[in-house]
Amino acid sequence: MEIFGLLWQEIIMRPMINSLALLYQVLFSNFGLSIIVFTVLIRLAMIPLTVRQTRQMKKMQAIQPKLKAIQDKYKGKKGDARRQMSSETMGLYKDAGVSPVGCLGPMIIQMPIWIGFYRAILRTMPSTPEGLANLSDLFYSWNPAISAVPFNSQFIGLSLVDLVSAAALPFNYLLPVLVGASMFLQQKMTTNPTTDPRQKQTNQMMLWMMPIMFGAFTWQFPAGLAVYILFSNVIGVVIQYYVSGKQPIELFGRSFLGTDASRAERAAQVAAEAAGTTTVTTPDPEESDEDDQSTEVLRKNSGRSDRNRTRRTGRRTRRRRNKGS
Amino acid sequence: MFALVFVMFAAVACVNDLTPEGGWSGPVAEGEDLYIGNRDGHLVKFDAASGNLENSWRYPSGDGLGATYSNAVVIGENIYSVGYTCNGDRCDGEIFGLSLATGTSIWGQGGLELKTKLVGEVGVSGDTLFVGTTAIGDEEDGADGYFYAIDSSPDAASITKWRIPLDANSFSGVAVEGNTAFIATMAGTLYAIDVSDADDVSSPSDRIMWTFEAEGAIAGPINVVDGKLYFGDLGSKAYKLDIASRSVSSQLSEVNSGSGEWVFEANAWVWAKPVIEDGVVYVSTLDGSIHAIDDSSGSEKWSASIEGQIVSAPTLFDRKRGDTRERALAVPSGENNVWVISVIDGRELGVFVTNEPVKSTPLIHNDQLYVHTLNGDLKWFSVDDTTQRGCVDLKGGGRCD
Repeated sequence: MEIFGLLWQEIIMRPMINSLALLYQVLFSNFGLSIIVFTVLIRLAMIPLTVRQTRQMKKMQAIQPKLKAIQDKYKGKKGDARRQMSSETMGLYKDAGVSPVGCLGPMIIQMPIWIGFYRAILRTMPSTPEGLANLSDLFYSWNPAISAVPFNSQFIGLSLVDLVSAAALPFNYLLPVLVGASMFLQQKMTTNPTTDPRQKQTNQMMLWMMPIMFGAFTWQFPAGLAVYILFSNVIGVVIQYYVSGKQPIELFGRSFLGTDASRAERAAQVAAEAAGTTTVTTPDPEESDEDDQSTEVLRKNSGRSDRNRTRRTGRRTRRRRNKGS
Repeated sequence: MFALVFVMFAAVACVNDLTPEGGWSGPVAEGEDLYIGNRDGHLVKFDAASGNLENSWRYPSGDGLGATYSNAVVIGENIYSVGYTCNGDRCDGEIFGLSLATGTSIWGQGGLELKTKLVGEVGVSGDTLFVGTTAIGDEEDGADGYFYAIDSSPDAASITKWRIPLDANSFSGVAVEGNTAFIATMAGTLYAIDVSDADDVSSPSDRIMWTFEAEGAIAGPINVVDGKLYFGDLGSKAYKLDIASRSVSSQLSEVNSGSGEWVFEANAWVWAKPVIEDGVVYVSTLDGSIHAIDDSSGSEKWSASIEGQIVSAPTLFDRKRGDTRERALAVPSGENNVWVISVIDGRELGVFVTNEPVKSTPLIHNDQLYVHTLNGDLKWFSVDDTTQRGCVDLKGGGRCD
């Protein structure tokens, strides 16, 4: 266990802490700028992993109908049939160039980097005598920033060491909201469409739960950490925009305001209810961006997908009709 | 993704860096008794003759103050110290004075409570205590640190006499010589402050006689010996300044070697108080080095190193070798043990095996070496053969031999 601690310290913590300190020296003794620039650099360094992960997820999404078909084909069967199903599934993955763990790999590589960075920020701005004394063990002796400790923690009127809850107005409320909103947007852009209702439900839960949780926890984070999370999310959104082409503002708007078509439909329903009549709605291709993306993928990748889409939208129409009557 | 969230928050829990971890107060002796700030922030009394804690003598009697980083100071019949804790970034500190006989507050109700971190040792001059603080939490537009003058007399109407804003947090504690007090800040400023009872001071800030700008933050204590100041900084330097020849504010480049002043490059952060004896200054660093420096010239005589950080000052003592005694340094290691280093050439002569990190200054008392280890025990050893003679848990009072 000790060896892992040593590796963690030497490979992750010390390089990060020393880089943050060096940036502090270069960037006018401003630790806030140092955090932002380092976040950008790390995000840029991880673009190949992000792109790879996104491509893998897209490919995985594209073969979902075929995968579902295989699962349906062998549903309820046991023994050799199960083995056959596994073999067909693996064949499908191979043909599509998808690694079942390909989506997770980049994420697993990124996780220690994010956690390390997060801890590096906390350790570089210690607030106890112990933390300060221990910091000396983490600096390289050649690092000129060592004599600048303790770093100036003020950034745009915010003390990066203190908890967000202790920050002055409007930062104490603004930071959690911005962290939550930026995380929501990033989640929205990275969540891939799915036809599996259970997965869809999970995605929806994650889409809302994560930002709310992080927004709430931000209240009790040191402000420097909140700045890091916020900028990490913002940069993540920008990268996703270039990688996936999804429009962040449009997605954000849709999540809260709905699309033109859905708004028109709702208005028509309200008007019909007021008039005491029932309307038959037409399927809204933009009802949710998730469905929208889903259909786009299906359209591109499978001849069946059009039929599925018709069935799905048909079901949706029937549901609405029932609801409306 | 849930796993990521879990790991993130587990990491948050592991790195709650806002709350002090107990401090590194060392024992001080008065008669047969030792007084130590334990890792809960209680000041406790240890009877060296019986080897037991006096359970009826403990301040505060309820929950401890959180952490105590400095040694208590005994003046006459009283003892003074400080402690603090933080919950999130809301800190509660207390400066207290106790009767040595009873362990009760000399100010009746309790000490002076301030919403701040109190790390350094108190200074005393006559009936006045001097304390350095960090920012006062309930003063939104206040300074980053203060120098407090506190009336220590039991019948004082108002405990705070006056205070001076500082340019940053202060961890250094206060050293006093005559009517001048010295305090340093994390901005690297050393202040010389007139603490006389002069009536012609219109503003407390007028009491600042001069300042000195060091290269790095001054986190450790200042030693005043025969009109000279010795201290180190986080710019990896140790300093000797001559009090008499200073009257104006100055900086590192203005160190006057003609007055016997010097700056020593220690190559690592200096937190421990420099120790001076027989014309040699012993400077310890956080990378575990000890430098013996010629007091008059500032040149290095020898250097040695141990495993672990040296956070508090080593203690000089006589080590018995056969029929003769030799002078040695007992050096506390933040890694483990207290190491015995020869003052002649820095050779390692032995070790007091604590099996625990030590960040407090050891105390020599009645031919025994007393050490407050980082796990909260007080261990004592024979100075002659370095064997452990006893151990008591400073929180519960039980034996841990």
